[in-house]
Amino acid sequence: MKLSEKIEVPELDELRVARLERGIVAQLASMPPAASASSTRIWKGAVALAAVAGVVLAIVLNLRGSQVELLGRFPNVGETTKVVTGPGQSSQLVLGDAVVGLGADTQLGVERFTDGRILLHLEAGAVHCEVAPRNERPAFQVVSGDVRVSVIGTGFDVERSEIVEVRVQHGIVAVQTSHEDVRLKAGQQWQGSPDAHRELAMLLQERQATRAQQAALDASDKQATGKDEHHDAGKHNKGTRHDAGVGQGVTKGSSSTKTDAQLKAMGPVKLSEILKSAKPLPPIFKKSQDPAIANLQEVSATNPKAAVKQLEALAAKLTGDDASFAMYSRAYLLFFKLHDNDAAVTAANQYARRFPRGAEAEDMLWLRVRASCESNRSSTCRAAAHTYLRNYPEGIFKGLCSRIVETTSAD
Amino acid sequence: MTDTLLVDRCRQGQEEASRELFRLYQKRVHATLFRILGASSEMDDLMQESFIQVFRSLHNFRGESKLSTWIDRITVRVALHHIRKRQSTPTPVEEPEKLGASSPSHGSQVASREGVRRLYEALAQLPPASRIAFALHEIDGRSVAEVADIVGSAVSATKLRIWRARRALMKIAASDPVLAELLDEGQSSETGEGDQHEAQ
Repeated sequence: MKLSEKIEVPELDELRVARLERGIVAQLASMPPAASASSTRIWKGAVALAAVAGVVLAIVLNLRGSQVELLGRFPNVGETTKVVTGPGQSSQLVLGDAVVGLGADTQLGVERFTDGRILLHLEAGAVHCEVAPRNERPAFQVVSGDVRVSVIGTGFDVERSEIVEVRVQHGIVAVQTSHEDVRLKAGQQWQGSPDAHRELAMLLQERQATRAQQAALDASDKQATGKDEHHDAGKHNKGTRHDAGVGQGVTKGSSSTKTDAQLKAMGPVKLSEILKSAKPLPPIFKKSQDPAIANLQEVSATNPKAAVKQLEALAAKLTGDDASFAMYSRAYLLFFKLHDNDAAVTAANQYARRFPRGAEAEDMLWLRVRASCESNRSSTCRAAAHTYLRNYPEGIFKGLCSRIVETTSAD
Repeated sequence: MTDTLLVDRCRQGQEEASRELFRLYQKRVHATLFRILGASSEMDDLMQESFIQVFRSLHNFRGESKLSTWIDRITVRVALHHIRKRQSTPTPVEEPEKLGASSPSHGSQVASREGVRRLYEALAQLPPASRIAFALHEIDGRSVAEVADIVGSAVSATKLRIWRARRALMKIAASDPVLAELLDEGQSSETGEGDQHEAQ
């Protein structure tokens, strides 16, 4: 039996339909009358005329409300025109010798420079461009996130969703990203991430931090066994997450110029490489105010299994921050000391359920990603990375999780 | 009454025509939203949003495609917006322990319902474009070409999205017997159908 036959769509009862109908009709009555297609065409004509006459475009087409408005004055060169289409709507712009078709639900910025160069910023949606061969003409480029498409003379589409897609109907375009530079001919298409630069930059920065953080972990181990107790811990703790705060010591000190140069040399990144570059999470014992938890530091160094059991009992007994620390520490020991990935995932889940907004919730979600990935369960790993990204779209491990999602989906 | 006449009357602001258009297409819009999103407490809001967008955009309808296809495109856009909005707000962590809680032994109907619930839980983990392409093709039963037309993508990109979604779901299903059962039953006939679509 097909999925479509297994999934039944429930019937809408008459009352519900009637209520919906009333709501929609009431909302329509309160809306301004829609602009007719002909009036839209008139404005489009005006836009084309303005472009042909060499006047810089300065209109804002807000088609969401079915209205075409001319807002303010024509701007000076260097100003950006914002063009927005709503669901089910499309539009067309004439920019000198270029015609740009906008698909539904598109957000486009049009920028024009003194030298005549035209730059389109595609924030969302899709554009189709018909552009005369550039040769001596000013450049025509479409930028979408990290991706820059330069026209050499062509008709092409650029579409942005989670990925950026470039499709060439005729002619040639050049596609550039921070780590790729390709030329596409008619019939060819290209796909890439709009955030590749940011993701790779984050990966590189985290790589740079790995050594320092490994040292911090080693120092912590030494501390636990009584060696170099004060000296090493003080020296390396700057690199750890809990002592330095989120992201500190990870993102500091890497200039963008250096990053760019190194990024180009990096090439494609694999899942194993991502995990290798991931910084370890620091132990947490010293943060707890509860002496029972703090004392477990010593136990964990000699008998981590016993420490895990005691932490489980403490977590059940304690509340608030101390319980949070106990659960976190338990997951940490399971993963880093006992290398029990499954138990670590379960412990991280238990933490996340009990403290969904806890101070260590982000670390726990990341630990779940790492433990799943190191178990070589790519679907679970990818799902965990998705969950992390959903909960912490701007989190410190965003770059790594994005790469995991990309890498595992491309294998 | 033909679609063109109905659209013209709606454009003129005739309330009765708007009501008629709603009654004609409400089931279709609801089914499309349901198959993409599964059961949702926001279904009524989404239906309302879809129809408001339809009426707002009617002046752009040029009759180049069927009215139903044009409405589908708008509905899919509304669903896409909804998915993206949901993904940008923090959601509770799923509980893998619960996955083994029920089993097919509870009865095939319950298992099937549970399988559907897990399917949509798994779909929520996919990129929105893949999720929509998969839902329209595999759950709504549309051809790849039709899906590509509705979502405004190339057929090749749509095929790739469906394939990626299917593969991702199979991976999730590897550790979820209830979901695996649902997909397995759907898979036997779907694989052949997928090949047919590819040949189109």
